[in-house]
Amino acid sequence: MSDVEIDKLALEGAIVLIDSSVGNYVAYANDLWQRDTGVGNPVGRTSLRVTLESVLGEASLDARAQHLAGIGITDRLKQINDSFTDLDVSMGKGWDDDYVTDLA
Amino acid sequence: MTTMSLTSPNRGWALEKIEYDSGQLEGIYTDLGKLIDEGNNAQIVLHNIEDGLEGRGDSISLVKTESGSLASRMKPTVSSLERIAKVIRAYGEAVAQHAKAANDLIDDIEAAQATLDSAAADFTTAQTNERECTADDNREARSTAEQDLSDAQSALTTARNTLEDLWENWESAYSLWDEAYDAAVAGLVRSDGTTLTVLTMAAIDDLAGADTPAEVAEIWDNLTDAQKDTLRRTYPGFIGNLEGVPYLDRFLANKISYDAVKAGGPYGDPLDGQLEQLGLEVTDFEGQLLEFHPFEYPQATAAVMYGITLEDENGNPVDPMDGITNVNVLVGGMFSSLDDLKNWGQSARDLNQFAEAYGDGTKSATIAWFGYDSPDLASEHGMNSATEGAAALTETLRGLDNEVSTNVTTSVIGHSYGSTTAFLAVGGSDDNLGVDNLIAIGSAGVPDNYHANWTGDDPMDYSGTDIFATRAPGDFVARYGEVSSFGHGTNPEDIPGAVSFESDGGEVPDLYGGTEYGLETPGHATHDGANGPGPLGEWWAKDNGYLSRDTESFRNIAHIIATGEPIS
Repeated sequence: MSDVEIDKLALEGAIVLIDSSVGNYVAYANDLWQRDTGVGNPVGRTSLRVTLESVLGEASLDARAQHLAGIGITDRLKQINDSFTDLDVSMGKGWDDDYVTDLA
Repeated sequence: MTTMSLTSPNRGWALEKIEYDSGQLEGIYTDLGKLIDEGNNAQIVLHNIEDGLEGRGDSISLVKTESGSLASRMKPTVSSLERIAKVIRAYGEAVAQHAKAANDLIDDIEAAQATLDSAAADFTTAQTNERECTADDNREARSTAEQDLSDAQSALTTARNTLEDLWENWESAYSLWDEAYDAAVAGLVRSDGTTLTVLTMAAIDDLAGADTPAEVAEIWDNLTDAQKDTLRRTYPGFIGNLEGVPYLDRFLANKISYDAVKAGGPYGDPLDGQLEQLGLEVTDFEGQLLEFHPFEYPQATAAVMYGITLEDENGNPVDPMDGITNVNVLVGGMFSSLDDLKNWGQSARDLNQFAEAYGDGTKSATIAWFGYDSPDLASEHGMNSATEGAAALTETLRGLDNEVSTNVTTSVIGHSYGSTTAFLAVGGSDDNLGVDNLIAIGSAGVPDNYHANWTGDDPMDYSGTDIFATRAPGDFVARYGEVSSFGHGTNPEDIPGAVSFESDGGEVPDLYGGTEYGLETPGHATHDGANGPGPLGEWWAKDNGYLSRDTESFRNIAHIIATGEPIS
């Protein structure tokens, strides 16, 4: 397997992993914020419910911003990956076969 | 649901069911765990990219740096989530044990109270019978009466002891839940992980554990200026919304909180637009943030106060309530939200202007209160939103009552379902929350004689509060809201002693001692739109809603605030 293929595989793996982990992270964060917490307003007290909704909301919005940053990273990785593909195509099929003279 | 109004003998706590949902709490805790796992996984992936991504070149270097940076950003968020999860777990365990134990005792206590009442009546009867025995009665009759009295005495003692034991157990369980609640609030406040001095951390615990605004005020008063400053800057969201903290400190804290939240955006709509408007109210219209919960779900909540001053001409801080004679609270109804703040803020300022013009020495301040999750078309029929809103409004009003002197006249003006909420808060409370005037405009109906989830079997009690109400002749929405409701089917004008006022157009005082024509309110809206968009967009229904400054309705409200009665 060539170096290029190794890097491509590493990049593709990284893209999938970031998409998956940061995507799951923000999905759980959004879901938690939009759920009934179960605290209610016991004996007319609201502070715990409001405080919990607020901290979960803040965490969810942090997670959304982090998710966007994660998308930025995967976009960059995809660009690099695409440039590998372009490079591979421009080199021509079989450029790295064993019989090609190693000029290094 | 309680069926009696009972109060615990030693602590004076009302016998009420402690609301909670163990299943939801457990679900939140479980899913917080999954969220934390995903956050940790993401950090590992990002660190692996930072440290181990193959290849050279600027693009590769940049993506490695960005990955490391993102992992670092996620770390404090995940750490906060871990602390939140611990708080939820502890509170979930506490309610499952202590709140459940307290709730389970309610029926037993009510039954024991009924038994005691019955035993006391039996004892009184036996005592009377025994006393009425005379020398003429035969020995057997006297003996029977004495035995009956002895038995009744014994039964009474047993009933009393049983009830005392039950109360003791209930107070113990309730107290443990109460401690867990306070600890949970303090734990969430500190979930960002900031470390302060031991004394300041203890102050947070004390403030979170205080049961009344007066207790909070006393704790706050005993803090040093440096501690107060630290708390305002470090936990502005907590201090800014805590009833009992002086309003000046709350305004300053909430401004700090607002600036930090604004800087952390954008968050998308509607929050970004609401933050923009809140900022304008403060910078351009001298509004002050009395409450600020931007991340509450499903809608951000806040309250803005107008008509007050924080500094004198030399820039020195002053008590914002100095010289204020009237405080008014505007409460919105169905679909109301911070999106409406521009119009409602204008009405608040208009109300101050007209109340001061109509009154003799009146100095008015008005709060535009968006402190609850307002109902939609489906939930408007029921009482859930009103129950939650009334709990929040009650806290605001208790805080206000603690902040102002008893000479200040407090008026609450509720529109549509906002009147349902406001009337539940005042009528369902064991006092009048310091509210002198309760004004319903376009009411969607106020709570019926009693509302089981709020007052037990006690009827709504508006003692000490004057009630005023109006409905425009063409306001079909309000009438539909009342007749289609489950729990708020009472027209406030039918409450004994309520004073009706007009909103169908008529002569009203102007600002300068003369009179002018006050517009008719054509439908249900507070500002524009009558009863809805309509086939022509109801272009004729603009600036003539209940709270528009040139309407008869609005002028009546200002007149009530200033003089205690509508325009005659």
